[in-house]
Amino acid sequence: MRNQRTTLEMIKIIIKYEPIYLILMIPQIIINSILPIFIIYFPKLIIDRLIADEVNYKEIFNIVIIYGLILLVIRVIQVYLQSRVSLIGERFTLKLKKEIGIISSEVDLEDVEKTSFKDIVIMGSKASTITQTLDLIQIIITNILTLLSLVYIIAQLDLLFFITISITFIVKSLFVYYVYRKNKKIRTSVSSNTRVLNYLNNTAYNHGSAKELRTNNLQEWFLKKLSDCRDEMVKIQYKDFTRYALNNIIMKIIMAVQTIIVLWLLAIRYIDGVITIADFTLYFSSVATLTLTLNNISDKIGAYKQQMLNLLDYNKLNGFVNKPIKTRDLSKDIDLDNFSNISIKFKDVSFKYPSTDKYVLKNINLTIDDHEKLVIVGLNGAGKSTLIKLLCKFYKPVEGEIYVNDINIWDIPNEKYNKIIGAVFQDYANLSFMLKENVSFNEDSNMALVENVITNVGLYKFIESLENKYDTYLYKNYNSSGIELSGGQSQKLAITRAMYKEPSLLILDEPTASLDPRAENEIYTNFYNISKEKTTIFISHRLTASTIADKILVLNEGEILEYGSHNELMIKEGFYATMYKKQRDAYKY
Amino acid sequence: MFEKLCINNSSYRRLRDYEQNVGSQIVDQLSNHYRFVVPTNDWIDELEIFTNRVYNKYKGTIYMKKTKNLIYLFKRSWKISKGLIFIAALKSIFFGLQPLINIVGLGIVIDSLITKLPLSDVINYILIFVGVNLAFSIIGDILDLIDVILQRKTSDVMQMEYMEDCVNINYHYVQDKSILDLKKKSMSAHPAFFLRDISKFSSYIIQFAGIVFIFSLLSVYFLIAIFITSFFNVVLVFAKRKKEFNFKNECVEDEQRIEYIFNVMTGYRFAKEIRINNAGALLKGKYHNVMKNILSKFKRFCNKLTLINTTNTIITVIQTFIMYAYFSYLVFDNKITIAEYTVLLGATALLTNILISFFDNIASINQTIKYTDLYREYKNDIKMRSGISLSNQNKKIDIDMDNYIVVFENVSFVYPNTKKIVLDNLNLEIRKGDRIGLVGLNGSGKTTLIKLLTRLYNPTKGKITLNGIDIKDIPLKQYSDYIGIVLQDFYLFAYTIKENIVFNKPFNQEKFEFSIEKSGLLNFIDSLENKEETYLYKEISKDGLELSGGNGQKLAIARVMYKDSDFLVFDEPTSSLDPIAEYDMFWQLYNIAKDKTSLFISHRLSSTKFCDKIIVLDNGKMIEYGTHEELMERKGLYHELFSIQANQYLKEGS
Repeated sequence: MRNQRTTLEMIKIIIKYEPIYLILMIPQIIINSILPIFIIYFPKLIIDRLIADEVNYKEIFNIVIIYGLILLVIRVIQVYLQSRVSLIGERFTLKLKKEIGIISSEVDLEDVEKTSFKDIVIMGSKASTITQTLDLIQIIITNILTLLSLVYIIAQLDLLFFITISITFIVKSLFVYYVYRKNKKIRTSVSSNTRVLNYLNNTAYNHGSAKELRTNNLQEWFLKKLSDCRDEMVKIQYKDFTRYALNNIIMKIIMAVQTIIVLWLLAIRYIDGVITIADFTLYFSSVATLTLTLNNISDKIGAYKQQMLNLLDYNKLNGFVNKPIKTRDLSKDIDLDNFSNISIKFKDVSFKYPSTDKYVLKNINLTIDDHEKLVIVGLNGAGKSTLIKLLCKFYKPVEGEIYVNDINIWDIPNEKYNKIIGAVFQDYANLSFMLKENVSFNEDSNMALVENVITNVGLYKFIESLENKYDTYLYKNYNSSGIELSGGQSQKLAITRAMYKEPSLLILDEPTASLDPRAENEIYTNFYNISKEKTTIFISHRLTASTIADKILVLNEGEILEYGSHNELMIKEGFYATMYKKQRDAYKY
Repeated sequence: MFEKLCINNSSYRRLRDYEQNVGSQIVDQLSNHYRFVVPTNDWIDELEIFTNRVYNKYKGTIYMKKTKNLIYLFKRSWKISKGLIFIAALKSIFFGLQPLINIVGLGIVIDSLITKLPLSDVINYILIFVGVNLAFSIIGDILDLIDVILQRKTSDVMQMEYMEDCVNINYHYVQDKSILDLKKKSMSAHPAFFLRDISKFSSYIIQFAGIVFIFSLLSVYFLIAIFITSFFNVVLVFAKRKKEFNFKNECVEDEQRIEYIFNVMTGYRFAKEIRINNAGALLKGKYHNVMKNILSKFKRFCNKLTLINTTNTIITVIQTFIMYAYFSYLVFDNKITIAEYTVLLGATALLTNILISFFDNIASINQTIKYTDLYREYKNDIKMRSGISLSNQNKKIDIDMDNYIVVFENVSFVYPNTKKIVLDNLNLEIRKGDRIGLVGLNGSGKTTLIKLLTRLYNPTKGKITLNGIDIKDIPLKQYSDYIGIVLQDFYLFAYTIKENIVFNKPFNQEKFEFSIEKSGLLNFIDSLENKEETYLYKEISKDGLELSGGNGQKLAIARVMYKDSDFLVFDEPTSSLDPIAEYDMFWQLYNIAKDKTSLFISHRLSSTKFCDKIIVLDNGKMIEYGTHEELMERKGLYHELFSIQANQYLKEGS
């Protein structure tokens, strides 16, 4: 049942994106099922005329010519259909992948971490599985139609003959069904093994893990993990192969018995003069073709089931591609001009990550005024990055609301909201496209603006020294002439991205962690100029950022511990003061 | 150009020989590849690889090459699985004979009917016919099963081989596109596929022999007609395969691009970045462009293929027509019986089937042979580029680790295929017990120095020695044990915390607890339900944990501590930590490194202040070297950087 459901889901998907593929399956099925019948019927026509009392060679010759022409037409149509179907199949595969990619880039962030999402991504990257499965089904249907035509031919002889054939047919089908029922469902373990295998494969080609593997002598360890995983998969598959072979053999025995019975019956009828030798050949080749067809069907069904064992839940895929994105269907529209000045308010905000129990933020009440510069400090795990994620609308507060200019941020369409926020994350990522595209994240880049922000972070000289300047590709995934950036250069590039948007709210999560003192200083000096017109929120472990800030927020275990200006907090001699003194004193000499 | 490069080795001489044949093309290619004025160590390797490639392309005739590749494939199959070869041979016999038995057997039965033999005789013939057929069929199925199992095994062996290549290749080439390309294409030269093709080939030969024997009783003209039409079939099938090969090559790059874009759209790593920056449109546009490319190439390919297939069809139909017309005439002329007619028809049908598959089969073998070239090129590339991991593997060199010194002798470094000198004539000594700080601006070469020290790369010029021995000559396994490094971009695997620390080293409870405690991870681990058996990330276990930046860093440090190397290297070990954790961690590290040699890279000069010696790099050169006090007095770069940082704290007056 599950296989049928999965197939149905696949059909739904292909109807959505490339229904022609299904439509073309119909002529394919018709043509492919007719052809074998045509080929076995034709010899009978000739032989009948050859054993006649008066043989007319000219008539036979004409029949052969007609046969040749019809054959030609059928086969040419076959060729043409095959080619169209391949092209459409490829188009579909690419389309589906694109759709999954686009939707993936828009779903809620919390969904991206889920295993079910990863499964969908695997389905997307193996989108050709759908066309392959449908092709299998098409072949199965074709063969079934051929089968029915053959049964019809066979039924023309007499009842006994027909019944005998039917009985053997039924016996075989029962056996197939019995085998099908007996197959254990090992899908989950295979698919989880597949996931592990994919992970290991991806890890091997990753720069970060590549360094670890070499500097820490982990090659052996890693290869063992891989071989263990494969051994697991192989064990399961060997059982499958054996079962499959055994089933085949039993089926062949059944068919052999049938052949004996058929020939026996036909021989008797020939000897009794009921049929001619031409009929004999016709009926016999019908039964032979029937055996072939049945073998085909069982082969393809076997392949189909094999395919299904490795498959994931296509029902989820359908749900995924048809699901409305929460943030898309907002009816309100907000005027962006009101947002050149931004004030932020957190009202009783509490948050815990989905499927966890621990509250990461508790009862946060905070107001950030327009053009204010706020630094958030605290120990690791205090909730700093989480607060930022909420402000970026990656997650929704479990309790409370966040307001920007007195409007609940969840009432603002994401696309507009993202235009007024510029953010640089701790785990920023640059893309393997051109440098200018990494700044603007747009097909068209405003070069004046690009150059401006590049200069502000201190990358101007470097880019000017490159042969292709702003058109230089990053890394080698997309273009083999791509360059590598140092850690600091990467970070600066990420910063330009935030700046390019000319946002009203600037968020920086550890923006200078990879930068040397001079570069860090450069950034902070320039930031002061750039962020002059913006509301800015920093997270930084380097408490020197406090010197640029108007206010400091100290978080501890999800709660606000201290809040005030640098001087106020130093006088308080609390948590902040302790941290600050520790860092500062390390520099005393 | 060669003169400028000052080469004087056999590669150059060989290349000169082929310059006549190949022309200035090669010279241009070379000059694009290698722009160094002075030959460097790696550069000569590059030239070797390149000239080998050119040499192989033009050496010998095509057929010599094909034969060589064929032999190579057999050798490789033999090496990977003798069983597969044996099974392939058996299969070819059984699958070859079975159709012939069918045809002839049926003819005998029909003949027995026409010659009016008694029913019991007819039945006997029927039983023999079906029985033998069944026996062959079952044996065939069993052979198939063994074949599939063996093939799975060899497939695993091959995949593991590719993986080994991947983990052993020099770090620089891990994501090298040309090697990844080669690898992908070379996967088609799989021995199991090859053997299957050979087995089919042999069975077709057997069937063909049988058919020729059956047809031998017929007219010579008929045979000639058949062979001529078959010849055209061959030509067409070869053309088809060639187009397929070219098409696949054309699309590899585009397919990789699609993969990348898809990764960006769906990967967690990029998720935040693409959302906050509305990157959807950009990615969609990029994908669409590549997709358009692929589809237009595919369309052209499909059209060509349709043309070829149609022509093929026409020829096949002509063949069929000739056969039917001729055989019918023979019966009409009383030259053959109906039974023989049936056998001839059966043989014709078999011949048609064979022809379609036979030449496809040959083309497939031909393609495998072609891809074997790519496989060999791939293997060659791998061999030349895995020097760091694979050289001196089985040696064991005695090194006195109680008293050692690491020396950089005139070390310069340029990344492969680039021009910029990243390290410029570096000379420095590190003795056992030294505590060294390494500072400098971004891009000054600090991380590169570490990469050379840990042998991710070999120096371009000069050498690094350990107790006088060039570290290149020490087996990598042995050398890696000496150095424990915490990388700036350390990597955590999706296995348990414990495994991320211990890996496959012998487990020592004391050492383990010590590592966790000293790295500051103890409290965190205790707070977890499964403690150190907790999985990280979600790829392996659905309940896996994401670690925060700080905890991740502590884990990386615990890892190094468990390794217990004598020479510790820390590349920005505290950048993700909060001030208090940083302060504590630094003192922990300082204590851990007390009896060992240590090298710290850090931008926070408050940390490196306490090192015995500080090295200052600028543009790849070591410009200052001394204690903190000495360098502050010098009032050079170090003084400038330290003061910038210190003053930021002292600005507000505290």
